[in-house]
Amino acid sequence: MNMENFELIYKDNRVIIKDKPKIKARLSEIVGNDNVSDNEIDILAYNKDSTLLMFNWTLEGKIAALPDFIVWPETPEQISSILRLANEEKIPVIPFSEGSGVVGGAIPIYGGIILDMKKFNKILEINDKDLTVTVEAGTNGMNLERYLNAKGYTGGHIPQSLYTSSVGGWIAHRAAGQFSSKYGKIEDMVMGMEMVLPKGDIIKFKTIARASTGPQLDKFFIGNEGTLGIVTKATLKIWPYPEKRAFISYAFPTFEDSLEATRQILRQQIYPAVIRIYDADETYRHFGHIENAKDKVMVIFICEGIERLVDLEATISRETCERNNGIECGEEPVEHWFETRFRVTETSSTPTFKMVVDTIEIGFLWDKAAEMYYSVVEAAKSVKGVIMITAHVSHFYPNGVGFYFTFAGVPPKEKSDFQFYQEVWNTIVKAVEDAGGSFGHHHGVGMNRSKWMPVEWGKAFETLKAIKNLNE
Amino acid sequence: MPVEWGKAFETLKAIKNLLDPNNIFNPGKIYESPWEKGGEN
Repeated sequence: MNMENFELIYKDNRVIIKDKPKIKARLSEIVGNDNVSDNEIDILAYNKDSTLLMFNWTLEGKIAALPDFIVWPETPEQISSILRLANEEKIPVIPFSEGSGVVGGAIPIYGGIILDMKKFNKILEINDKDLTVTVEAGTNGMNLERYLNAKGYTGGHIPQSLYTSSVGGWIAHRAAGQFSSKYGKIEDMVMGMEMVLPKGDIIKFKTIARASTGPQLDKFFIGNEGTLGIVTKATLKIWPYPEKRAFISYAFPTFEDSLEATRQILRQQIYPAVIRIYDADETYRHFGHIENAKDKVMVIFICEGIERLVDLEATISRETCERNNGIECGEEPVEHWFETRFRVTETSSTPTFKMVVDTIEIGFLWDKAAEMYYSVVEAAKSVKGVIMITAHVSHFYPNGVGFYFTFAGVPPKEKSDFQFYQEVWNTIVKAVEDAGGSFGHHHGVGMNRSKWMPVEWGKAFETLKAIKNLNE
Repeated sequence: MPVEWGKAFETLKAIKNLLDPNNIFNPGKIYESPWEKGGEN
């Protein structure tokens, strides 16, 4: 492979490392020769994450960005030394674990050192009475969940990317799993953390159920996306593996009916682990084979836990659906979802059809959820070249919801893929912000949403930037 | 607090100092412990 055959997209403002052999030697001193690489094949492998547009670029012979070194540290002290060296030499350090992020959060845009966390892969301790697991941050999600399941527990954090993401990645961007209505998002699950700050200091947040010992600084670091520190170890909540699961599905005549039914379920303090509403287009796409769901809005539920509670939750959920015009569709739609829920290939294959496709997940409060959905759909349709805009509602809370929009289009002749992509994103995010929603529910900010931070945060963004500056 | 928080307390104090450089907002709590001097006055 010859890297000169590729066009580098982000080549401005790259940090020029004058004496690369010297830096490589110093990195080798810290982590050992085998844990440092500047081989072409490795440099190339870390040029992108799973941002869909970057697959389009790859097919066109373009590379997003190139790092200078990859390091695989094995201890927090080694990370500390790497960061001290990087501060001395003014070299960017980009935390990385499995590269399944979809908003460009792990792109080495200015070059530098990729800090790959894959060797932090040990599951250290389960405490049965405390219901906690302590795990190194590079641990793969499915490895952790399988380990917990074998011991009779669940971690409750089951994202679509379970096979391709890590605990540290979840904490870095404030992730959510598909079972979040019952178990919460990752920020609800972190009980304690060890992390390394940008200057190299190693700090630990005590594991405790609840405390009143000053600000929740640990929560502040969740979602920093490797800009304020890197998590090396975490203690997370776990739950006994569910005794029973109930699969329930209902089809509703309108989107409003489906929102009303699910809101009422949560209002009764019933928390099915999984709730998913598919708008009419997505119902057709995923459940076209279900007769009762024809031209309707499909909702699937999974209630799980101890048998008696699951039975009660299932009964109340069913009654609430029926009160809101729901038509029962049985277990089959849920089984279909359950079996295909980790498939990430559906969207990542679209670039080969010369289409520009992406997903945008946003947070809304209940009160204006339906209104906001329609305003986002209308806004996206107004962009020339958009041929599809659909959504499902994937995360449910007593006070609000997380929507997951998918758009697809073919750029008009006068526009590049990138220009078209930007236009759709900007249009959708503007519609979300205008309507009072949040531009991100669980994918993080990354590169392609950074410009919206001042809008989303307002004056508070100045405070966040001052803290970033302080820590650097 | 330094015992409870360990090294992380330095980070918390740095943020306090950034946001309140003149220490005018409810001084004498959390970040410092003048209470300890009470018995000596």
